[in-house]
Amino acid sequence: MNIVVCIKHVMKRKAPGSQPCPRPGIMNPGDRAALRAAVHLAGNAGEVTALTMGPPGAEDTLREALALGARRAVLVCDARCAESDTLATSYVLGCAVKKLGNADVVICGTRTIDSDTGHVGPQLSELLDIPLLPYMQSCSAGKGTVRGVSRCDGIVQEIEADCPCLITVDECGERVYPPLGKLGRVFTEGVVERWDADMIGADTSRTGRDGSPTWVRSVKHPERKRAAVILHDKPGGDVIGELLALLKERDIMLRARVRSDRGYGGYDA
Amino acid sequence: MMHEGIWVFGDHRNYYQDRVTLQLLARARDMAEKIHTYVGVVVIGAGVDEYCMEYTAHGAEKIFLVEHESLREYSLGRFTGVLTELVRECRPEILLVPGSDFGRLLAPKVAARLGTGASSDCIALDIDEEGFFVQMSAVHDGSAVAEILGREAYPQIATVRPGVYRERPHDYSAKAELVRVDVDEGAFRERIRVISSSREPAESGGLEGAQCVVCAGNGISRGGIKRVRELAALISAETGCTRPLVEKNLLPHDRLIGQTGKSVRPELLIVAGASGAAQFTAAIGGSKCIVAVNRDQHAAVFGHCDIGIVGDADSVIRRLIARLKK
Repeated sequence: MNIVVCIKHVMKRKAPGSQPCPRPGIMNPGDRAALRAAVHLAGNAGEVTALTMGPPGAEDTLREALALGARRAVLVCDARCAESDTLATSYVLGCAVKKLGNADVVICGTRTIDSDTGHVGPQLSELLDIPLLPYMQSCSAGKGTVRGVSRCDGIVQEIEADCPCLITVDECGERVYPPLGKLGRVFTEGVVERWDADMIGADTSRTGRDGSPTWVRSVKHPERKRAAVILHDKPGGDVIGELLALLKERDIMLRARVRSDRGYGGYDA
Repeated sequence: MMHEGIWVFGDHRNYYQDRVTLQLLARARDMAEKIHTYVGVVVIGAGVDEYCMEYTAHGAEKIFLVEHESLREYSLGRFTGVLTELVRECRPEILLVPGSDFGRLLAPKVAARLGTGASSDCIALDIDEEGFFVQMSAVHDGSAVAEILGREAYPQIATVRPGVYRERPHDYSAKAELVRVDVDEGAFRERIRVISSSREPAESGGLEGAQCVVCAGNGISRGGIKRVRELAALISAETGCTRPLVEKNLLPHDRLIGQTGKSVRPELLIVAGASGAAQFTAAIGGSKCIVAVNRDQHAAVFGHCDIGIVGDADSVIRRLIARLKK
């Protein structure tokens, strides 16, 4: 089976409260599960193509995908695609999948650590007009079909669709890191094909910031919602005592269940 | 042609566990007042009269009902087709979709078919002074909040997780206009074959209704998790955690507090070693008293708590247990 796996190159930011500090990006952690599923599903006869849309730096993420089992890596990199929202991104990825031509299955992750919309899989399935097998926990290839277990709102279903189809994979299981030797080799020898919007036949009125149906007016750091009393845990201090006293002021008594003088468990308000 | 009305998709599959449709109806009514429009609810299914009545009692003013035997079971393909047709015909201005697993698929699919914008997992929705529909969504791993607006494409679609808004009290005297819509059979296409289907057993020890919760964040060590559980057991609390701990397989997904997990509103919430990502803090806002422990005095979580302790979470939890046992 020929598989296209869509991967996102994300910028990791520092902790909340500190200044944003873009580092060279990383492969979106949730997409490793998608890549793993792709390699599994492709089997020995199939080929896995890792596809991403992103800045030139996304090449690193694709090289990592090569080290993790992808045979081919394609980066759609075009300034006219920058700042695309999810629909415009799905459109560009859809054009690239069509250009690749022979995909039996397209696989996407369900979550990203930056904007985390979960939109691209469902939207790509619409734009390619192929069935969507969502939230897959496991999957296997049949004869021209894919079957697997999907978990959605507390309902577990075994579902099946004819190829071509699109699978979204839940992040689950252990993280896999490529063997260091192989990683070193693909960084020097691996080939990442670079395509632009024209090469995939994308209509650039549907890409980038101006081609996106949504726009971001502002990005703010959340304001304080509650006025906290702040205690500092210092050597020689009794922060636990201070905490219990403050809770008591709020009519909250913390008690251990075993020694409760009221004869029952733990917590009274 | 004008686009009018704020619609809510009636996500009735888990009606008795999941009140998010009712919560969105309440928010839709507040917003509808600002732009002088009506609130509609879309009900797709078979044998759904009961839900229509409930939605009416909770604020829906118009019910768009598509009833068909083939819609008795939830089907992403059919529901996408039906909802898209309904939107094309009746032209709402805004469509709110409950952020269930299903809604998180339905909303982007309908948006893609219509070529309109969608935002995901909003932590707040509003109409600004100029009448624009503003969708606030957590970005950058929850360290920031983006204000997302739509361009000239309708309806503007947003999903919202459970627990962000409060439902209105029942009003059984409320009336709604019932609009039965016949949808072309062509919309009923489903290409997924269901081989077998079962419901996961209901979880024990509900976080959502708990009176007291102890939540472990990424600042808790592997060994510290055990002590967090010990503390929870000691004070009859439920144990919860933030996303990184689920990702590291230290606690199961059903313990996750946050937008993609459970919302909690206990009397007392102790948050140990969590930084305070927006997806997390959006799910704890209903708690009465929040105690947060974090080593970093600038951690965002201190803006969302009532009592903050700057210190090592492992150590504070250990000493709290010791003190309570004394």
